[in-house]
Amino acid sequence: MPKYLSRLFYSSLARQLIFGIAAVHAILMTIFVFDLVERQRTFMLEQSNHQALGLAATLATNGASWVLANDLVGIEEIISSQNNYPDLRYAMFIDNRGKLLGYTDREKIGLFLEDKLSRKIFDGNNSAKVLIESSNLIDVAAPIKVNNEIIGWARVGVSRTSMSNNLKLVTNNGLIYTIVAILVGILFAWVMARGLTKGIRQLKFAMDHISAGERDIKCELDREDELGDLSHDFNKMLLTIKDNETKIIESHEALNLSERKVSQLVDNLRTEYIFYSHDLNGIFTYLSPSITDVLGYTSSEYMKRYDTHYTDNPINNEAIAYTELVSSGKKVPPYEVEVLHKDGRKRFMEVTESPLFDSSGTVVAVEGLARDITDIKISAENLTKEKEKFEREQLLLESIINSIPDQIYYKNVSGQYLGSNKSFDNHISLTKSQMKNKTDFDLFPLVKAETNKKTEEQILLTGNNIYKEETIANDKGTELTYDTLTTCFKQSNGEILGFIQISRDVTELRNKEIQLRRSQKMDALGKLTGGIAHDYNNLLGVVIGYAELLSMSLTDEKLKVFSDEITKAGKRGANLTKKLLAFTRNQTSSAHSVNINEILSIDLNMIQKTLTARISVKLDLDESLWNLWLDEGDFQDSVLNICINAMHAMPDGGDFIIRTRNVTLSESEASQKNILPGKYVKLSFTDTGCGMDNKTKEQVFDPFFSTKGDKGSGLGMSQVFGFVKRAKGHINIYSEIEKGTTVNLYFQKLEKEKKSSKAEEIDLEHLNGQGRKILVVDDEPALKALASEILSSNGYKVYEAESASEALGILDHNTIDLVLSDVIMPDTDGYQLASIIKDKFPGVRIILASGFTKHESIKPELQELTDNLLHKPYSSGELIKAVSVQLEDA
Amino acid sequence: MPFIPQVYRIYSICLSIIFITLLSACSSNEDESSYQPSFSSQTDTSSDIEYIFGVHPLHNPQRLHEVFSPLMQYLSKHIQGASFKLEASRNYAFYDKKLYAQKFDFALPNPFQTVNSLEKGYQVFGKMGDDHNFRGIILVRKDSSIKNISDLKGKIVSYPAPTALAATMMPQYYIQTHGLNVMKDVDNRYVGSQESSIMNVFLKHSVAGATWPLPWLSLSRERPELVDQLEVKWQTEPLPNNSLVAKTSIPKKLVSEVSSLLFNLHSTAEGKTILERMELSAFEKANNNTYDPVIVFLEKFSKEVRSIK
Repeated sequence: MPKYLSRLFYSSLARQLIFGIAAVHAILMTIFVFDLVERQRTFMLEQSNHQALGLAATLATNGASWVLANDLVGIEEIISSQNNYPDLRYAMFIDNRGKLLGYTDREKIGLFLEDKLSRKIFDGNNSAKVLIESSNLIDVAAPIKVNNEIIGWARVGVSRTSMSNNLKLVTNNGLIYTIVAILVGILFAWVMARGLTKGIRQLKFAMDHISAGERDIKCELDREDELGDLSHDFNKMLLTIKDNETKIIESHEALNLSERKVSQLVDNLRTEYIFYSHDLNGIFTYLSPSITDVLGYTSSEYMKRYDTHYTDNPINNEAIAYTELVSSGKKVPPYEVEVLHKDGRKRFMEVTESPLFDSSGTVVAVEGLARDITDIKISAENLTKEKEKFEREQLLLESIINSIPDQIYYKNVSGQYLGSNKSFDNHISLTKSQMKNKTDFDLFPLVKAETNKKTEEQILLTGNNIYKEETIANDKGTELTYDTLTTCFKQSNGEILGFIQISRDVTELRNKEIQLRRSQKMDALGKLTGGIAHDYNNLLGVVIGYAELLSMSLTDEKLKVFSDEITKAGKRGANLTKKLLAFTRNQTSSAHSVNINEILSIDLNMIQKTLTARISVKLDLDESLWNLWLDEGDFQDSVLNICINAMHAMPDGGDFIIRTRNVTLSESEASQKNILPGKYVKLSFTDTGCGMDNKTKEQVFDPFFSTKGDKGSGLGMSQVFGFVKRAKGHINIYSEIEKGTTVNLYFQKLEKEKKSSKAEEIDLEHLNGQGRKILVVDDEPALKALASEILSSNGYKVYEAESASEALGILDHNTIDLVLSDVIMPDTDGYQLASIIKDKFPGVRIILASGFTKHESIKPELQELTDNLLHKPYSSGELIKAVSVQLEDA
Repeated sequence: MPFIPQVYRIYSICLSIIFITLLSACSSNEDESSYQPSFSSQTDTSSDIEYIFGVHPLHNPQRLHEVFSPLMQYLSKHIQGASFKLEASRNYAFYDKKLYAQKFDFALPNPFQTVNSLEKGYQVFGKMGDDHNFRGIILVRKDSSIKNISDLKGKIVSYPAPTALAATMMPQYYIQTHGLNVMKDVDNRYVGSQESSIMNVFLKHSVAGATWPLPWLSLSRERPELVDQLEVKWQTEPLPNNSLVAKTSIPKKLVSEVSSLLFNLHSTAEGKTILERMELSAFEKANNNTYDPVIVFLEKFSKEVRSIK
């Protein structure tokens, strides 16, 4: 192909596309037209053949009779009948000699065929034959057979000119269509090429600019075909190229810089570094000049195999193995070798090696950096020892801090937690990693965090430690009290680096202090009231006793009434002193085994009436509630007092729930309540009343404290308190303003039934002293005389003493059956006297009489005396009964 | 070489081949397009003289050829310098025309045509034997109701041709002489050939068909169903059979040779075979006078039945 044509063709995709499509059209259309024409031609030729042969055969058949009859007219008629046969050029009947019997040109009839082609008819082949078959003419001859004997020939010549013309027309049309198709194809190709190559041209334009160095150019082809994808990928590629170029430039710059640095570095390597490279056989190819400083050799002296100056140290074997790995292209960690200095000293070198690759990725050399670490190793060994020592000390310190129950933590000056001890970690319920770098604002409520911050700011200002006590509610809502010390830790130059805080949970201590103060307060009150009540009881005892004696001796009914009134008044006074004594622990007890569920169930009606109908009462009782050792009367009084308080707290109505449960208190729980650990029955009273503030809660058990003004005696809750304490139980109150109050009472589970008093079994009407000797000891003359009078009038012989010493004197000289002694006496009290009597006079029965009893100082062997204490003021019947019971057991 | 340019190169080659082929296909042979057969007036190059032997339409041309071609071959074979070509005629009229125009050198006309040919330059030199067969027969279907000649009244009767002596004239004279005015009482149909006359009866196109024994025997042999369904109801008296005539211009020697061969056919196996095909026992001598009875009949027929001119 001429060069210019070749250039013209190959230089444009559009032209190639156009030519391609045109060529495809041309080829396909040409093939189509050719095939069509050929088929048409073949078909038409065949048709023509068949028609011609058919015509000749028809003529032969039809003309047989005429030929036989030599009926030229008939023959002519037959030929004439074919005049309208399309394209018939000639038709003839000839006999076996070639004589024309009939012909389209009548003038030739009778002549003989003479041309060579015609004579072929008589070539011996007696079947129909085609004499001429061309594009313009077909000449066939068919034998006229009669009884298989050829009597002549029918021959026709049919022109194929029209057929040829038709074929030519078809061919010409085909060519025209082909040309049109080519032109249309070219047009289509041109349009398509333009559309396709437009995108390509745009891409080329972009690429030209990129080749020129532009990088900010973009080729945005808004199409969804491959060109669109190509432009998208092109842009991505361009971005990548741009990035890569930038990276390459940066890398080159970095590389250049690095090379300069390396060069500088190598030239200026300090006395402990050697930079080297060696070939794959291990022979050094380069050694930095610093080798002289490090190992004493010159570079040329050391240009041997790398292990030439290795010592026998086993670490060198590993080093050799590493080097082999590097030589094979592997990465290895830094390793150590021991080599010999020129002066014979052993030196440790730390070697960092890497393989060098060529462009095909083949290892061609090894390069490395060796550092003399001999001194470092020595230092490191020393350092390791120091470090181990430090770590031991650190562990010890940590153990000490973690063993401290107080919560300790430390922060930086920004308030971020740096560390803490175990106690603090447990308190905060976070791990050290969770706490690290957190501040108070991340861990605590805002109020506390700000309080801490203010404390820390104050320390920063003053540099002083800060002590404070704070109350914090834990996650269960329980308020805990902490004593907190916040201090700072400083650098040697005095700069504060952070804060240290130590917190001690003093909640239990404070509670015990409160209880102790309450207890002391109650004790003081108790002593006061006890003292008053005692003296008052004594007076009442005289009044009641003598009134009874008077009543017994009077015969005048009217005067008896007067003395009975005196007795009643005295008993009312006794009740009052009983109430006074009730809130203290000094009241005597009539305890026995009870199940408080039964008492509550029985008293439910009374409780409901006390609370009134506006308050709904509900019992939530543990069905398997343990039994208790309680004074039932005191228990009922306590329940009543609590109900009255609840009723006053719910003026508009509400709910009141009484709940019983078996509970087991641990040591810590019991300790908080100042009771012994173990099994308890917990009795709770919950109301939905107005609640109490803290101040009221602190005073609620104080005698004479009332929120009801003049309407209350202020002794109700005091009585409850005294009752619970006598029962060795515990009481606490939870209350919230406008939410309600819960009063919880804890009573020890009764483990073993105790012996009940026998006094109730005695028949009082037939009591008689029978001359039994009773010693009455009382420092109150009136009471002594009263008791003597009552006893002697009942048949007892009575001795009197005003003190314990006088009583002992009487006992030394008389056989006494029973001693009736007051408890509270100067010098020696009734218990002390009883203890002496039991030692010296073990057969003597003893009854103590008192308004109250100090439980703490009673010896266990004298507990029976307390259990059988005669309560003042006592009636004559009570006295006689008690004496009779004692003497009955004797 | 890059792939795409290579493809285009291949395209170019293909295109060239295709175009060349197209061009070649478009060309044509001019010589043959203008061909026309050429003729000459050369006479027969053969040394033999061809004599036309015209046999009257005893049968259709193909049948005639079948029957008489062996005779022509026999004569051609046994007479040197002469070849005999059988010429049939499409019908009696054409045969008459050709005969009377002396188209035939030799002819085998029927007796009527024989009589007429005597005036047209022919002479009788022989005849077919078996005169007893030269009679007219009238065939009817066996299942037809035609019992008497009178039953033909108003019916169609088929005949070969008006001038067929034995097959037409003699039966017509019979009908005429047996009670009917054949020209008025009967629908006479001239169907062209003996076979056609017989087939007309078989196919019930006519109630009766006239022919003479030889064609009836020949056709019935070929088609047995004709014998099963048709019967010869009436037959006429015989007359001299078909004659052998020659143009008076034919050399006597030739006529004599032909006569000799024909009259001795019955004595050779080959000749017997030929005669058997013709349903003829022999040819025999005859002359013009042999056909005087025919002349008499023709006169009576012309007078009593119809004109035969």
